[in-house]
Amino acid sequence: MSRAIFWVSTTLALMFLVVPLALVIPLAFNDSSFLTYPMEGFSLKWFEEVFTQGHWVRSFVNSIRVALGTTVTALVIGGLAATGVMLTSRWLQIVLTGLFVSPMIVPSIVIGVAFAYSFGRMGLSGSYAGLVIAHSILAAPLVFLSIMTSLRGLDPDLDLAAASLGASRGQRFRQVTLPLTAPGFFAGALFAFTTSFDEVVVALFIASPESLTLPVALFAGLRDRLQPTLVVVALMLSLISFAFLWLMFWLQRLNRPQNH
Amino acid sequence: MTFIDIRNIDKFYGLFQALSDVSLSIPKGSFVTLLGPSGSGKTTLLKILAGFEGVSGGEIRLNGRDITALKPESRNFGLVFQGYALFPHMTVFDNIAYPLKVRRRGRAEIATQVNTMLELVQLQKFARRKPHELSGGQQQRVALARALVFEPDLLLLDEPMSALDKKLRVDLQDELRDIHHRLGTTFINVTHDQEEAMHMSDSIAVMNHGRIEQYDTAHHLYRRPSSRFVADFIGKSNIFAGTVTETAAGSEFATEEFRLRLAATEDSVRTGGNAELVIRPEDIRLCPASQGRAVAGDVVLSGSVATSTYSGDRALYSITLQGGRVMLTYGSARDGALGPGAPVQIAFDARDGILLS
Repeated sequence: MSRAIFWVSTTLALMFLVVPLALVIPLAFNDSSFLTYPMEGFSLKWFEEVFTQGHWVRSFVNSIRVALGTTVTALVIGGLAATGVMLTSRWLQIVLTGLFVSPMIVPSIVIGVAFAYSFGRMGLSGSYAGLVIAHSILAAPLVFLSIMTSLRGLDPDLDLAAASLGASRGQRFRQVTLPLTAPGFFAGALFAFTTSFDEVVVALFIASPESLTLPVALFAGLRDRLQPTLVVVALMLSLISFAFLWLMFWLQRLNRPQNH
Repeated sequence: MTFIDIRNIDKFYGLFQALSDVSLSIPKGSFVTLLGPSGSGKTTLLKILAGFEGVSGGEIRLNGRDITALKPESRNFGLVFQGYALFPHMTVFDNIAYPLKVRRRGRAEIATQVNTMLELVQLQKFARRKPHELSGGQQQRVALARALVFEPDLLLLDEPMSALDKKLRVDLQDELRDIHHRLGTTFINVTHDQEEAMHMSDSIAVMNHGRIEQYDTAHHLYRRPSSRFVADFIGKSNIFAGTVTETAAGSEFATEEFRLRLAATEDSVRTGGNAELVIRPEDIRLCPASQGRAVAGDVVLSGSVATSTYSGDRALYSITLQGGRVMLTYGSARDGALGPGAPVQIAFDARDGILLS
């Protein structure tokens, strides 16, 4: 009886998630330029249009650039924070972790408005740097948590052993800590990349027409003309996100604390 | 000048005093064990020697040089951890090579040194394995090799055998002693196992509540314990509390069960007052009443067997005396152990007693 309930509820949940996508995606191949059923024919011309049209390619490149910048920045911020927090006392660790994770609880609209205002005053509005900073602040908590998990799983005696063998702090970090916590760093990097690549709310507030990211261009396109090109872009975004998600899942499994 | 001079070390964790005025002189090339129960401060002292903890007071000198404030990476001491702390992402070879790599030795030199070490610990065939592929005993030997490969001034061992079974422990004790003789490095071992301490060490520092009770060879600790704690902790003992009085014929020790004229030895307490007398079980002669003949000695007592522990080569008995006191003695096990309730006579001599004030 419980198995039946399990299968029914799982199927319903999946359908709820998948059916909207399944209804929209085929329209990417629609011959007509309207997003309606029944489809008029099968065509790949919208794919061709997306790949040749300047502004889609530009916004895709923008998204990649911002995501890469975010990844590097968030890794540095989150990584340093996690390493530093691990060195403090138990009580301080709890307080600092709460602080570092706090951007995650603030609604992204609030962050978007706050940055739009501050960047405007600082002259960073619409700039690549501004967007990277904003996205890094959104992504750094995830990187922080991912690296903390890795560091927590590390045997503290290993660092002491390396020190007793003559290794300086830098050597210990590079030769012992880093290799053993690498999965945490990789997972963190992926979190940062996907967070930035998919992010639309803050980007909407901060980006200028030249620095549009792909999700924002998609959003703008929705208000402009409803064409299958939009569905094509959405499909591409989904596939990329799906690929990264799968990579993240795989790395999470590697990230489980090492046992002797 | 002593090789390692530990002077008046105090260590506080908040209000708790872990070490109290600890001083120790360790000659070069010796094998010293810090022996004591949990909480005695032996591990704290080891951590201070390694440089992982600072001192609240006192200093440590190596060949006269003050190293108290030196960071662990600058001390050139080898350390074998209780959990071995082998690097899981490196092979056995790379683990042992690590201290040499850190010291920027050449590849050829590293290879030679590491292979010498692998031979020393008999793990030549395991060079390419990872730590998780080794047994506990093998991991311990890799940890040892790694700690010795760079020819440290001192090797510190933190209860390295606590995770191993008894047979393995005895084998490794012998190996460790052998390696010590071959290399001549100064060893400091920390353990709560007094048998291990006695098997391997040149001298033992018995610690209790953050102090060193006695620092001496195993033989002296056993035969001339300076306190009740040491007498009780090392080996088995029977301890009688009583008083010493001066009589016309010399000093006499008196308890409920007997009076004993004390032998004239240089280190026994002459003044009157309370004292304790320690008798080791092997110095007591046991004779079952059923055998008829009497047993002779300065003190002869009657009692009956309470429990017996048969070990093949001999039997350990706890005997209940007429006054209710229980004593431990050994007896021959050739015909099996005596059963509970068997009446016996026991005897011992004054010269085998150790008097504590």
